[in-house]
Amino acid sequence: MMRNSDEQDNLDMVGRYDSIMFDPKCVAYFGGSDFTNFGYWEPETVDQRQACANLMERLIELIPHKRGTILDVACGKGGTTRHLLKHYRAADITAINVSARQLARAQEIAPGCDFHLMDACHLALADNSVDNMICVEAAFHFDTRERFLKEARRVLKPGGCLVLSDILMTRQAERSKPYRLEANYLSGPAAYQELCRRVGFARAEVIDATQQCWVGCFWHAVRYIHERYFARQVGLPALKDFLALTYRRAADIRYYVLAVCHKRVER
Amino acid sequence: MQHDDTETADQASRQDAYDQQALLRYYEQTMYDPLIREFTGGSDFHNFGYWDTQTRNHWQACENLMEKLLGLLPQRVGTILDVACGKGATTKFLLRHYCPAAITAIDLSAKLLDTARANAPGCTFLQMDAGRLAFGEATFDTVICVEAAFHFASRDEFLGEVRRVIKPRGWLLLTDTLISTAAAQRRIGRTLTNQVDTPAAYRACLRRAGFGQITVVDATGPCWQGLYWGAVRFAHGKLLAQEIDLPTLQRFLEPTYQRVPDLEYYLLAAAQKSLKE
Repeated sequence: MMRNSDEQDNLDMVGRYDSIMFDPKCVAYFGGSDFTNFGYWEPETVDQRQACANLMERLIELIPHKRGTILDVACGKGGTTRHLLKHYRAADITAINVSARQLARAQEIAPGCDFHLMDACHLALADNSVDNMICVEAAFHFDTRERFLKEARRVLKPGGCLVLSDILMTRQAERSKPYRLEANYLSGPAAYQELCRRVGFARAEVIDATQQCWVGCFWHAVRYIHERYFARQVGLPALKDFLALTYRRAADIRYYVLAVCHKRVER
Repeated sequence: MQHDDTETADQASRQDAYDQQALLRYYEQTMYDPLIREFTGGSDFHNFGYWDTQTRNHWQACENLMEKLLGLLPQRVGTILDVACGKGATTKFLLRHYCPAAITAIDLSAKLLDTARANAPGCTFLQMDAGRLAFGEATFDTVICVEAAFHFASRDEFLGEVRRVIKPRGWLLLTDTLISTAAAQRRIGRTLTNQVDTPAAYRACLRRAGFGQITVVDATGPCWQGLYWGAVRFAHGKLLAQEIDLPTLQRFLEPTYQRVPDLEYYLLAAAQKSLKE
């Protein structure tokens, strides 16, 4: 059970994400794609929208059997859910989120999928009911990540898997930043893998994608706003305002990981 | 710059932001800043440089700029004067093409000249104002001035002096920046008496001073835009690696950011002394 102050924190966080995700500057930065992720950057990746689609492809290719149903955990405005339609039928896709406003947008852009307002740590789903799960850049906010991983394992069918991308910060940042929890602190990919095993996944692979995801995203944000400043399209206060979040992240982020957790096949 | 007791209208108009001593202090401080030294690779170049697709750092860009500028010269012969030589990196570069005895370099700052002497041993270094050259007529075959003429009280006055000390058919090489009039009123070390708005006006300025065979190249892209990205990449790379903090990044980039609304053109120019007055 959540304490009242935790519930308030959660409402604050939802409100904050809503205001960021629907801000016209943010929408423009993501090319109107309804993605709001760091993305996965390769030399040929040109913009944030492409990087986000690329990240989805990198995660989906970690799923060995792309069959049956898939659950999109913390789907945001539905950019990830819509991307799943490239690989799954709408009827096989369920997506959950804690923001009603984001869910309303997600329903618009991924019609036919099943959307629910639901907390990732308290899944209102039966045991062994989902073939695969995906969770893009959200587990660091969960209270706790460990609890979510246990829930994921519970609802996954035997032989199913959870793929996720996740961000690890310094212990100091996990302790002091809003919407982060010291209980979620992990020192690196090895500790992440150890956690996945501890909650009962038969097999877990954790890939260090810090360069492709965080560093790629950092340089794109720097390039994006400095181009506009040089062209005199935005002023210096707007440049500094735009980069404030990127600069805070540079001080706090240590790893960006991709992970795949396999639930044991029953005999 | 000498100070007269009588203040003329001309001097009054230079009071805007034109304070040569403040400018000197600024350069003497920033040119020895440790982070800026790291950016320049310890080269002692403090120029924009010329950045092309092969250019990997500021030092290379500055050497590239010198090559591009000297490339405008039909022949590298005789004596050369390096005006506003700073810490002498430009002077040292000239040693690739000239012997020390053929090279004279001047600057306003005694401190910068001390560094310059160590960088280019054997060359002649003199503390001198570019607007009042203490040389006889027809002394040099070539005069070079890299990124300094915008700080002079008047380019016309400077070009007149250069024409006097250059030999007949001698050459002048310049790199220079043009800023908006609004910026000229506001920026340190800039004065409206030296305001030139466009490359065409710059060319006219050279012709008016008695030069011919004029080449003016708009190098705003490779030089100014090149430096902008070079500085942004350098500082953000240091921040990402946690080698500098955010206030340090912002202090380092502030001069670059301030140039964005002000700077209109970066020019390379070459001109030959005409024979007729």
